[in-house]
Amino acid sequence: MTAFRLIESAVDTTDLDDFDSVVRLHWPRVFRFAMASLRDRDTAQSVAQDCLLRAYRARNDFRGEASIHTWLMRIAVNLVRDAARNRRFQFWRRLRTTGVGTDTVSDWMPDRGISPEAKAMLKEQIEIAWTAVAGLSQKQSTVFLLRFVEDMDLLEIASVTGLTEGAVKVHLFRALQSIRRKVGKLI
Amino acid sequence: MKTHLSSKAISQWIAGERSKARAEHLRECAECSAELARVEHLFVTLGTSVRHWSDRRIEVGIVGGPVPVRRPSVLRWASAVTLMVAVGLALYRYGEERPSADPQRDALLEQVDAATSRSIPEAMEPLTMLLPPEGERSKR
Repeated sequence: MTAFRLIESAVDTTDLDDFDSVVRLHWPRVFRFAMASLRDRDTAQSVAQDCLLRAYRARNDFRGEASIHTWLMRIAVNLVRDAARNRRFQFWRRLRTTGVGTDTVSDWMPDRGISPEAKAMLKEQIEIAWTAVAGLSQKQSTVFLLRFVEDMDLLEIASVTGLTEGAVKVHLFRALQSIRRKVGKLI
Repeated sequence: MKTHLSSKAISQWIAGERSKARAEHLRECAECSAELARVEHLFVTLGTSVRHWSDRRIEVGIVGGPVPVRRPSVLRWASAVTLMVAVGLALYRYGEERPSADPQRDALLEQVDAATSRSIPEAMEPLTMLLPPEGERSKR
């Protein structure tokens, strides 16, 4: 488990009775996943709001079999899938030249003392890989983002997506292969 | 001859499909472990970049978190009221009719006004008596 996941799991001990705290802690994570999946701020915001509203309405049905984060992400994954299928959303996404703002994902690349040449090459690889993620199937993209953006392990991903662990591995493998093909000789 | 891990095998390893034989090979083969590290680094860096990029959308203050409300201070209210009273008084004073202090100037202004509001020169005014009234002219 990475440091990032340790920090995030430490804040996952909130009681559902204190729903304000649940919103405060989990809103950014749900929004982040929706944003990475849909690449549209307004839709991601709408998905995050809807996710927490549904969770609030269903809070009495939560039996604690999974963590609150896993439970919320399960709702978010379904909402993201529905939003991506929405024809109106697809139309506006096609129409837009950029999803949000003028900065790209590679502008936010961690810069830990690598040489300018290596940084430039990595930046290019990140750009190509990020474009390749947009071309993945819905399941491949979800599994990939849960694994590398949300830093979830395979069992958590299986729980969130409702897939078996084996199916998660297959989708992740296909996603990786597809991205690596696009990045090509750079890696 | 040592057989290196294929591109497919490296992707399978990253996707969680791991075996003892591959683990052993990766321990022994510096080339394959370097290749694996390079590919993993790309995906981990991509994940981190996406995380920062998405989190930035929250930081810019458009989504998430309550928006702080700025309450106007007493000083601001007082300044606003004073300004409104001052502007109101100035407009009132400006609109007031003031008596003229120079009768000669007023007479001259009346003459100029009469001259400029004539439709024809003063010398030609008797000729207008010969013309029929305005309504009858238009009927013809």
